[in-house]
Amino acid sequence: MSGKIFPVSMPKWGMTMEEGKVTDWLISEGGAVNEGDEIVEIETDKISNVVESQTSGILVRHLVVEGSTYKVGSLIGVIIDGDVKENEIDNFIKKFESEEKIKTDTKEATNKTEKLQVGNLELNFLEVFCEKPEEETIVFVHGFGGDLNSWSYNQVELSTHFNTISLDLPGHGGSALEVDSGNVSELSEILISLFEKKEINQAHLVGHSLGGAISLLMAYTKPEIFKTLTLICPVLPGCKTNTEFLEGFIFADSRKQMRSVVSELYANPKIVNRNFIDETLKSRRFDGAKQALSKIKDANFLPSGEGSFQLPPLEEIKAPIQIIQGSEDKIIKFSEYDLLPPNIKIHELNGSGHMPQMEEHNQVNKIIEAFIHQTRGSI
Amino acid sequence: MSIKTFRQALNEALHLEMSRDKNVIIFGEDVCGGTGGTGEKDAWGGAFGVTKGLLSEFGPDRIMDTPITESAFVGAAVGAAMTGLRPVTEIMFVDFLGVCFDQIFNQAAKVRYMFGGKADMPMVLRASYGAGASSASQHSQALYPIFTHIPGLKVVVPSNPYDAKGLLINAIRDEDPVIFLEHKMLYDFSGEVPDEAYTVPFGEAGIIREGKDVTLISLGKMVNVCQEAADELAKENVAASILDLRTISPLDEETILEFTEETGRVVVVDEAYPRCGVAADVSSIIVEKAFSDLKAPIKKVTPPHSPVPYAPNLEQAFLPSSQNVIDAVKEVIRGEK
Amino acid sequence: MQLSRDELLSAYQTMKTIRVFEDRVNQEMGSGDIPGAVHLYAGQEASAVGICSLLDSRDQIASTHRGHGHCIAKGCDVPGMMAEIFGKQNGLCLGKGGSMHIADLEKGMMGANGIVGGGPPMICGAALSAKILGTKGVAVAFAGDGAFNQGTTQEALNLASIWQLPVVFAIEDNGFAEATSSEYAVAGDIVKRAQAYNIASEKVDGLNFFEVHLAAKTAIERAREGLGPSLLQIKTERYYGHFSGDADTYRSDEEKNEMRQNKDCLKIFRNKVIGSSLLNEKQLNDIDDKVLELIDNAVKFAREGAEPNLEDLTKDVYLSY
Repeated sequence: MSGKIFPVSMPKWGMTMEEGKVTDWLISEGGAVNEGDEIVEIETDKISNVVESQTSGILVRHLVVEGSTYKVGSLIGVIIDGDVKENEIDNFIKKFESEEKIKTDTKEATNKTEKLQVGNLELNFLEVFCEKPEEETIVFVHGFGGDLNSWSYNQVELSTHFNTISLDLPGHGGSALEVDSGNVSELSEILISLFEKKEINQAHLVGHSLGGAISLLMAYTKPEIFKTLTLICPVLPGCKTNTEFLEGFIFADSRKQMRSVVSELYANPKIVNRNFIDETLKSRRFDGAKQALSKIKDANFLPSGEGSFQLPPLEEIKAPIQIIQGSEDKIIKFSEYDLLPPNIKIHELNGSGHMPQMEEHNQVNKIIEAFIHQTRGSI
Repeated sequence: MSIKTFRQALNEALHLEMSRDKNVIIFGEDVCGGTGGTGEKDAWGGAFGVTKGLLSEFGPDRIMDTPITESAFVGAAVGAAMTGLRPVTEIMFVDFLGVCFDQIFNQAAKVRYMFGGKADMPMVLRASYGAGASSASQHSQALYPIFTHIPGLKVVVPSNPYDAKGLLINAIRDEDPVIFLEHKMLYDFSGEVPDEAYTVPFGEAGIIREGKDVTLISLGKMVNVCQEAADELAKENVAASILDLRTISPLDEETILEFTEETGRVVVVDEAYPRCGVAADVSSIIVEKAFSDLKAPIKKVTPPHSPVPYAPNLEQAFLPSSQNVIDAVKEVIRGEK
Repeated sequence: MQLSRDELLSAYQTMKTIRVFEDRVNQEMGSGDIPGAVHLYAGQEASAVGICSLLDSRDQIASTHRGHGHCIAKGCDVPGMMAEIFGKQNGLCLGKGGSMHIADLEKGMMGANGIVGGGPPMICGAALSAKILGTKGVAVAFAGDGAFNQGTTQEALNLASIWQLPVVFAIEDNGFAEATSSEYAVAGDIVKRAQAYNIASEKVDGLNFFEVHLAAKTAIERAREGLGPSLLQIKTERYYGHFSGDADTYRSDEEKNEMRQNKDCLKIFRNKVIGSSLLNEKQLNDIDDKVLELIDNAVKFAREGAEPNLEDLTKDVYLSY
């Protein structure tokens, strides 16, 4: 065989994902692909997303039917690069499927979320251990109104090389729904206590939106622990946050209302599916959920949308910082990027809204990993 | 979050609400069981054990056994609700509504309206319903259409433990009279239920499954029947959506019409008698409001126009089965223009 | 006779208000401007006032289809009542209830009830509230000799007794349930039947305000002290037919004349208070004039009121839906 064969398999987006529905082949059978091209659209619990090609070649087989659901890891297509015979493709498929079967039969239990008491609060988190981890842990801090599922498309992927931990902020997800003041200082202190309790000594922070501000404070307070800072659409001084969105995100009480609010998060709102809307509504309907979020909103945002909290000057933060932004971000308007220290690299992702970690997850994962390696090289 | 039965989920809802609001009280026949006797107090905790343990937690001033006098104690629930309490009363079997129906449909349902909006009626009437336990004609009916017919009442029929807890908490917090019906064959059915208090809103159907070929609309225990049918249909590449109405008054028309538009084919599966039932009501709404979205006539899967028989084989034949649903779906697909 | 002058004046005024109100409603029925039918309380005033004059804001009453008297006695707004009967927007229930569903929860009047026997179970609930919330309130179920036979009433007696609820069952026995006499329809004796439920019961002359008042006082105090329910069988007279269209041919003309002449609780009250020099003619006549004016104004208020807006047809079916 002079060519190479590459599998296209059902991805695992998020620790709880067990299957996905193939909704749309974007490249027809026999069509040419380049590395990075979108091949197929998959619908999951959370949103619809696309699988990108890891290679160039010909998408020689569609192995699945649009509208059907397949287990994570199953073979859904085949790409060939160069000269490959039909029977070689067939053998490849058979081998893959039998190996996959062995894998699933001996699969260990998927990681589950755990809870830990930090002070008088119970925090919910998801820790994923890598078989052969690099030294540090990547820590994911979600944004206002979200939860650790914000990192469904990132945590699993990055756990191939790093230990990772994502958590639910107080007042969010499965963590305790009580907060004291709810301001970012308090939240960052609580998170620092969590990591101290878990004896995490070296970590890279990835913070989204308000979680970015919290991550900044953590890095400032504990420079010995937090080695790098990746901020995704962060709330920074000089930012204006869409407070109408914040209100709606807390109080939307019907599917219609919540869909219209949640759609603001994404450049392409069509990818938001019903299950995500329902899960968000469910989380708001716990006693105390709306009050906790309201408290956090009032503690951190002025009615005008500007942050009401102080952040340390970015120059004083030891850890290298990079920022990832979406060009179509409807939630945060940051007009003072020129005023940021010049050593802060800014990645603007075209066609992405306020959640590039979901909409452009492949790119974001690459940017995070590259940054960690790059800064390690220079330390 | 842990696995709980439907019964436990309801018990938790009552427990949480009675802890949160001291005006929530419970009374009904044998809600404790053993009052005035020489043996165990709280011997039953309700005919189906739903209220067990509440007596020791809250005392006899908050949960009381009543004599077999439905019209008196359901009427008392009406009067108590008008004067500051939030009573959760129950009739053991919905079939007993006959002996207290005036209190429900002429008093509870109408007080707010007749008094020009100047009265609240925050009462909940719980009852078991449904066939499959060989309880025969007078203890097996699904009479929710009768309540749905009456303006002023809200009617809730949960299908699973998660919804049961959230809907009951919502019902207790509601200022209008709520008829809360629990399928007697679901009490032992388990599911994941969070430990904390949460609500499930009225007028929002549960979207159990999404599939482009047909919409199955159902409620209560029939939702499980639809799930079985949908699993079988999937093997034949027919993708069914399943809507769980959860509350029939108020009814989530929006979601019903949305799915009608998306799939173009509808089968309504309901355990109530066919005449003037939920299946008939939902079908007529769809036809009236979304006729042009339909690719085929709507099919209803219901029991026959007959009382519930005693003999198990007859009772099984009486109840809609997953095969009945599968047959209906196939007919709806073949009947396509 | 331990009532003060003011209490006596108030009692007379309330009874007179009821009498004039009912006579006037009967008259207005002739104009065709009152929708539906009315069930008039005239003749039974001493019962309503004898009991309600002892109640306060903690206490609840539930009434029957013949509820105007109880409503007035419990302190409901008279012009608002008239407007409700006329079906107007400025009525007590915004025109949504009418004569048979007239109510004012703020005054503790849980409504007239179109269903015979509808009140007693509700009153058990109100009494339960009073007991649990510790208000020391009392709940009074007005019911007729017809309602006494209803299963709901019998069940309510049982429940009130076993739970020792602060209830007074005021059974206004006017001898007729619609067109059928209680002689015929009531098995046994009302007082004895109630006593069989371990309920303290007595028969009272409903034409004598003072007798009603005394018996009611005992019953209400019993309830307030947590000593359980009571029942009063109040023998009284219903002046009009069952309802406004009732030719009332099942009673002889002699009986009806006799009733108006010699079984008038207002006349009996007047004679008693004047005879004992507690009040004088002038005071009572002044009240008569005042009441006439009040009722005139009430009718004016009702006639000038607007019909409810069409948008209000489906308002208040629920608080939220």
